[in-house]
Amino acid sequence: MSEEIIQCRGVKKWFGDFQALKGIDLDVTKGEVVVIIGPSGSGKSTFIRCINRLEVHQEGQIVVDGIELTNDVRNIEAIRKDVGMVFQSFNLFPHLTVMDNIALAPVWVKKKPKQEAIAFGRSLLERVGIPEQAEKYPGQLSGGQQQRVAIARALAMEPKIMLFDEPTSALDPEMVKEVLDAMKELAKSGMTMLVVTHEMGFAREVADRVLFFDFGEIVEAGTPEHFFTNPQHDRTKLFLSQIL
Amino acid sequence: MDEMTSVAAVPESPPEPPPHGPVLWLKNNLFSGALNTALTLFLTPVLLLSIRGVLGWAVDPLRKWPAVTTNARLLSVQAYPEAHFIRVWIAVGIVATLSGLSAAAWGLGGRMTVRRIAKGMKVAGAILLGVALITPGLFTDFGSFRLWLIVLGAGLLGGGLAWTAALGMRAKDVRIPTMSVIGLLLLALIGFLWIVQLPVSNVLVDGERIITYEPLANSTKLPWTMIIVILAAAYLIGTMIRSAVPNLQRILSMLWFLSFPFTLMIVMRAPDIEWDKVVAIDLPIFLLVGVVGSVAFYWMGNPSTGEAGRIVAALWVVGIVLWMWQSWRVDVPAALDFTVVLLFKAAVFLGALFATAAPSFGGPRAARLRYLGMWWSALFLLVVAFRLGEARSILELGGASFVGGLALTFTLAIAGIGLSFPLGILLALGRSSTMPIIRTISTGYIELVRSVPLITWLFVGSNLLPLFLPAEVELDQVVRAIAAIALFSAAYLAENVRGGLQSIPKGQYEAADAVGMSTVQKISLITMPQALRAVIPALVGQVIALFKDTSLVAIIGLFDLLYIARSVIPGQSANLGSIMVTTVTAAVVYWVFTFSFSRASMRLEKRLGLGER
Repeated sequence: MSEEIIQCRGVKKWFGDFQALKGIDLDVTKGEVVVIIGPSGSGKSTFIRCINRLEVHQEGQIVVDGIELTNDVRNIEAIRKDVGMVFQSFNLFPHLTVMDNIALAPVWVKKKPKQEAIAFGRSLLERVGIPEQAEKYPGQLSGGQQQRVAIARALAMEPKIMLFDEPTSALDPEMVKEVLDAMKELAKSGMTMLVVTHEMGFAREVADRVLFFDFGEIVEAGTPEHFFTNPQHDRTKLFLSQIL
Repeated sequence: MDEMTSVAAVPESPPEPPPHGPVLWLKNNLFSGALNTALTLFLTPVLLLSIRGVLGWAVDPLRKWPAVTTNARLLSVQAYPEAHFIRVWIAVGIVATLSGLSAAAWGLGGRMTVRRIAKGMKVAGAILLGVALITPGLFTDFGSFRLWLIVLGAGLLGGGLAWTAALGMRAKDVRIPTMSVIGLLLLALIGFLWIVQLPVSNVLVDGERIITYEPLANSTKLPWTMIIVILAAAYLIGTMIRSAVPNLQRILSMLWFLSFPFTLMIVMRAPDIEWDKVVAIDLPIFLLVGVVGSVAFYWMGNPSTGEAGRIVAALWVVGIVLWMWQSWRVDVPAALDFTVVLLFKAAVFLGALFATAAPSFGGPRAARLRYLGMWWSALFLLVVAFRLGEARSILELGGASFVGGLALTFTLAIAGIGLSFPLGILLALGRSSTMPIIRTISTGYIELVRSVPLITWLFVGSNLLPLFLPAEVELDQVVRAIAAIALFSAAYLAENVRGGLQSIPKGQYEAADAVGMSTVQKISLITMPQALRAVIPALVGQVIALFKDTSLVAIIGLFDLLYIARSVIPGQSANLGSIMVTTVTAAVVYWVFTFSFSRASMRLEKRLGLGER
């Protein structure tokens, strides 16, 4: 049993004539936190969305937890149960209360008894710091609270991998910290995480590895120290000089 | 940081409220400028004269209002046999009981401020006084009525004013339960039923006609009183058991769902059950299909069964559809009762529906057993409904379309809505499906049905539908009208629902995908509830249109409310020339129901708006 929980070999993806991913090779080991940075349109969101097949890659191979992603519905369903995802725009279900948002999938997809799902949901809300909001609707919460509910919703499925697609980009600066804190706590607990973000502080502090994407390729990869203090590639240097 | 907290610690008091009062209101709203003043001075008399004209028309001695009161029964239920009225009252009683229990279960009403009640009294009093003063003519008929109006109006207005004055500023804070106010209003309604007298024309033995005054709802005041008492009692019982029965809301939803076919059955049929058939046919089919289904669904719902369950379910569906298709017009062996095959097919078809959903609703043992419970109840209901519908009715009803008037209007509207909703939702899903055959069929159906007028479909339902059905199936004219209305309305509903589905952001689908939901779960738990909420206004418009469109059934020989008001009553020799009076009455009846419906939907929207982003 290999330690690699995600294996990507030559993943390619086109939108019409535009090639969004030009052959991504990546292995992620269990418990690793990988932060993906890069300019807009560089393919970083497309890549992590391929991992739970919200986008379909056209060439190459993606193996998640020993299951290869193909068109087979059973594989997709099995992988989605193991891979949680947090979106830039939260995507909470607005017609359900916070607790229903969290407990819905465990009850219907994992067939957990409802009482158990609610008890677990309560513990997750405590973990992300908003146990008092359980009976409210998403529209009544602030952006930061909504994103923490979204994290709890993904965790409720007890995933092995968590994908974060720019989780703080739609938030007011004041609320970014509360979401990042929840993510840091999650990283410390040993969760395997793939995080697309523009938060360099988070990358520096939490990441085991930083990937720099541009034009659908991994331009540079390395530990945060290496990446932020001694970048090798000109494109990386330019990018870092512009945002730091 | 310290500076900031000290600033926030000193609360600023809100400014004094701006001055207000009736004079200021008039100045601000009616006389705010030269143009506004001119319009006010011109339009006020126009408005008052119009109202005076309408009221003058209504109280004119030439109006034959007894045409309405004398024919109240005809307008309500047409020719329903008087000996069986108890059936109608049982149906109304069931609805009243459920309404009362539901009002308690959902905690309707809440509390309202005393000031609002006083304001309502003042407004009602002012309107009554206004009507009394503005109505033209001083003829005897209206004279005493006008006096009553003035007394009542002045009493309400004075009472409201005095109450507000006595409470002073406190009135804003004093709150009483809304239901107690409604209870008082119902009590007043009972009083009115017994006291208020309306003119009724009577034919004496020698053919002479006289107008007598009889209490409102003369022959039905006792049942109506009982219905109101039942309503109140159900509400009180509901408030008492509310905390003891945690699932009360779910149970009531289910009872509401079942109440419609049940009440329809009570009103329309008195089935003469042949028990030997029940034992020889229904019971074996029920047990056989039930047991086979249970074994199959228990296996399919097991998560470890996987795709094999779905394959068996698909084969089941294809099999029953093919079987129904090929033997649709084929003669049944004489030895076999036609109904046996029909019931068996219906049961197997229901099983096919359950089979397709079994993998989605299955899971651990408890979930699967719950699913089996649903299966046995649905199958039981199917068999019971089949037997009750198939058995000969011993209800002696004059003619095929005995039910008419307002009762027919309601039957058509409720059945039409109840059937067109699920069909419309399925069509909307079909039209937005990625499967080409389903999409083509749905689109074709919607476009075909929408392109032809409802009247044409009523003709089709009335004349052509029997040709498509097995010769042994006889459908009542009312059932055929319901089918036409429901199939027509479903096409429009489908387009409304599709609009709602398109308003769901892509992120909702992705979020549901990301937690591993299946397509059925995604639709039923995430997108459809949101889509329906988004199009409530359009759906309400559809329901109101359907309610009024039921009047078109007059064209296939059914006597609905409007037809009776427009043709039957003015055709009676005593009521010749009463067409204006009776049609206006019908219009008011339609208005009362559509308006209440639109208000209720506004409240629903407000309540559900809580979940909007």
